[in-house]
Amino acid sequence: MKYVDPIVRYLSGDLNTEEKRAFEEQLASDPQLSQEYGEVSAAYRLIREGVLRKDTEAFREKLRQVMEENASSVRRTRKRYLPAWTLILSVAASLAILLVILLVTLDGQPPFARFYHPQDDPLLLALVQDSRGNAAAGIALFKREEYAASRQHLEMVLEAEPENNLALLYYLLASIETGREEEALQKISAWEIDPTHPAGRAIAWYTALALVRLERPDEASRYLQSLTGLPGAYEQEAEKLRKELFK
Amino acid sequence: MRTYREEELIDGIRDHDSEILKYVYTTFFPVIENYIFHNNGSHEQAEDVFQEAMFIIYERIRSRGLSLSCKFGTYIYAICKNIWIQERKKYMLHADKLRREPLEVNEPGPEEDPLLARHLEELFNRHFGQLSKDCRKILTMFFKDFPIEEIRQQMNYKDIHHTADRKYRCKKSLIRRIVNDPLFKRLKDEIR
Repeated sequence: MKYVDPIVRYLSGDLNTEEKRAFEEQLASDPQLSQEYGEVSAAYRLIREGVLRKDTEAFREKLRQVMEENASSVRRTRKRYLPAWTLILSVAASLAILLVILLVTLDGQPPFARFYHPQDDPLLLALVQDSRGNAAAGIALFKREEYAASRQHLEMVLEAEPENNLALLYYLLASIETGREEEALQKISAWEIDPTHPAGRAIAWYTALALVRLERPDEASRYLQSLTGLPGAYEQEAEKLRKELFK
Repeated sequence: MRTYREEELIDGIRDHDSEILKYVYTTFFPVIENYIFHNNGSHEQAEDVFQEAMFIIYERIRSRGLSLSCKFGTYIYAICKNIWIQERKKYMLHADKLRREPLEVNEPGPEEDPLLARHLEELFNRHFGQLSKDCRKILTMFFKDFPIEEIRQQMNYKDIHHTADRKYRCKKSLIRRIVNDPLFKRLKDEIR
């Protein structure tokens, strides 16, 4: 190949204006240059695409590696950027639930009955208001007290979306209402508690109550500790319930 | 953890810097994940969206450079949000279409010939792999539009003239190998 050098320089943008003009004139009139240009420019394109493709693959692999290596640290230090109204509502929820507990304590009811009031829980109301998607229908059934249908629907949603916290929460509640909390607790035992997230705190709270109902206070204590360990919704009632269980 | 300026983040992403990628992931992914969770997504979907956004950002940095008029966090969050909205729209449209229309089987095939693409990729990989490590690195930086001075610094060469000469010789060596390959001679008319 006679013209590889000037062709490579031309394709690389290394010719000055005058050299470039001269090259292009020769390209238009020299058949051998034209033929070699066709081959070399095809190879040049192939090289450019190949180099960039390898580079993209290397970046994907590096990013995948970094995400794998740091996944656990992201889970531990995950920040929940809550809109202000959910924080205010968390406090209101705690106060409202404490008030209800105070009012019914005088009746001498067992702990579960005194602490379990999902229909009056402002935090659940807030979470549901923000919800869309597949869990919404199951939640609507729960609110209409069609607990069995709600449970069935949410069970299907969880099969497709095991990480859907809202579906899990209401599946738990519907299971409690239908006396099938044992099955819900099996699902929850594989779930990682996230006490920084409102839905996570709600799941921890109602799981503790389900365990209290099943007379398993030691297991309930684990969930209650996750709530008292960090400020947020259900913190005060978790502390109150814990003291009551182990007094 | 130390913080980085926007320019440092962009350069770090371009250079596949592990510390920068770790910083970006640990700092911004939780916020993006939270958004996806609140919009009916899962952890896996949040990871996919984050990765997709990073690839988009990487391609932009590499092809035409990136100059931000906002914080990097704001930028990546906006891209992720856009990706997620598009994904949900596609899902809803697809589900709706499946409900309303019968399944079509006469779908057109891909525009490119996959066999040709595979041959070309093998051709390139074979010859690129035979270059020296330095040549591979120089060519990668060249095609990523690194300034010549930066190539010189990264390769620790004494001057720009020497750097340009090495770059040119690496290119020519690879081009000659490819052009003289019998497979290339067979395929060249299909790739022009």
